[in-house]
Amino acid sequence: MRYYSETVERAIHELAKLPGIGRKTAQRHVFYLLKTSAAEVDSLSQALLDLKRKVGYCSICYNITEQDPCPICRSEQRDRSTICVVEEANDVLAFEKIGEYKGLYHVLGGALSPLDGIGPDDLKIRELLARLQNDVREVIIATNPSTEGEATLFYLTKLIKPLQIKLSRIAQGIPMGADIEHADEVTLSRALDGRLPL
Amino acid sequence: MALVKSTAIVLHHRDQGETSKIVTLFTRQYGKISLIAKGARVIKSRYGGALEPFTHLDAVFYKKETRDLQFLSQVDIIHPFPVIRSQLGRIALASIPCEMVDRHEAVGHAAPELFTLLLETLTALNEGERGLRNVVRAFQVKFAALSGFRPQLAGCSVCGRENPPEQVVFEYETGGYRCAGCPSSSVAGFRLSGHGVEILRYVQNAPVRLAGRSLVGSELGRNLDECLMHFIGYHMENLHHLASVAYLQQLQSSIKIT
Repeated sequence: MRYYSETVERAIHELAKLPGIGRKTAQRHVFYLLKTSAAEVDSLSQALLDLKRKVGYCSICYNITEQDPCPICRSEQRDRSTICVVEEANDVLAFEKIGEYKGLYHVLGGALSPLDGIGPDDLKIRELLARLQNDVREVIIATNPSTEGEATLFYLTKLIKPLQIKLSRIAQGIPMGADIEHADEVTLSRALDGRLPL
Repeated sequence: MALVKSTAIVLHHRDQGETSKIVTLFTRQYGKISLIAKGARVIKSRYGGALEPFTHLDAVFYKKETRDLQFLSQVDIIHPFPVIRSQLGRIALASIPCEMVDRHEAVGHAAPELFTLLLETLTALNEGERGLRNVVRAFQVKFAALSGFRPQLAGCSVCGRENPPEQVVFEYETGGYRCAGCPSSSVAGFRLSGHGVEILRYVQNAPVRLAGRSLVGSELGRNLDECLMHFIGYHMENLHHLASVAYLQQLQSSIKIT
C-alpha cells in the first residue's frame, strides 16, 4: 500500500533495487535524503549520473576506467612483460593498494562456474590470449581460492602452458595473524603444499 | 528456534552483502536447506574453505520452521574431496549431480537415500581413476529411480527379448526400450545401440564406485548422455536444461579435459 507521495515512492522503489537493500532500508535512506541539503543530494545524483556516463571498461585489460586505455595500461612505468590475471576490477584495487606489483593486469570479469553456467565464452579469456602474443614473459594468476577460482586457474593453465610463457599463481594458505589450530583442512593442506624453502 | 546438527554436502554458494555467503546444503536429516554464513568471505573466516561446493561436512545451525533462510553456526569438514577440486574435468562432472539435487529437491524434504547416492558419487569421482563419466551416468540412472522413474531395462517392451539387438529405441515416457525392428508406438524415443542398453543396465545395477569399470567410447558416451538428459528432462521439467551440462560441453569444445 502506498502511504507517501509518488516521488517518495519512486525513490524508495529505485533504491530497493540495489543489492542488500530492502524496502525498509530504502525507506530510511529516502527519509535521510529528504532531511539533507539540496546541494548534497545534487552531488550524490551527479556522482551516480557520472558513474554511468563517464566510467567504462579499458579496451586492453577490462579494468574499469574513465579513459581508454586505463592509466595502468598507459603508464610507461609499468612492466609490460608481466600480466596479473584477476577475476574482478575490485581485485586490481586490492593489488594496487599494496603498491608492490608493477606489471599490468587483465580482468576476466568473473570465474568459471559450472553450477552457475558461466563458461569460458562468458569471460575475457580470448582477449587475454590475444594479449599474450605481444612480448609477455610472465602471467600471474590471481583468481580467488574458491572452487570457481581454481577451475579458472586450471583452464587458463591448459591454455597458457603450451605458449612457453612463465606461469605462476599467488600463494595460498594461512593468513597473517590467524591461528593454525583454527585453520580448516583445505587451507592447512594448501599451506603445506605451498611451503617455501628457507 | 533449535540448534541442530546434520551431516551435509555443499551444493552451491553465493555471495551475500560484503562479507557473508548464502550456502545451499543437502543434509542427511533435513534435506536441502539454505543458510546464511555470516563473515564467510573474510580472510580469517572460521569457515575457511569448508563452504566450497562438494565438501562433505558436519553442520551446526539454528533451524526455525517458519524461516526460509537458516543461520549457520559451525562447520567441521568430514571430507573436502581434494582430488575433485584439483582437476577441471572432475569439477565439471561433480557439478552435474550437485545441480540436479539442488534443482530437484524441495527445501526441507529429507531424502537420506539420495544423500547416500550423492555422497557415493562424489567419493567415486574423487577416488576413481577412469570411467568418471559413467559414475555420473550411474548417478543419473539411480537418481531417476529414486524419483520414481526407474528405467525398465530388463528386456524389449514389445517382444520381451532380453539380449538387446544392435539398435534399439529408448522410450522416454515408459523408460523402457524396444528393438528397432519391433512395431513402433507413438511414444517419443531415442535411437541407441544395444551396447548402450547394456551400459545403462550395468550402471543401474552396479554400486556407484564400480560404475567407472565399464568404459564407453566417446560417440556412445555422447549418445548415452543425450538419452539420459532427455529422459530425465522429460519426467522432471526442472532438470530439462542443466547449467553444468552446458558448461561441460563448452569446456570440451575448447580444450581436452580428462
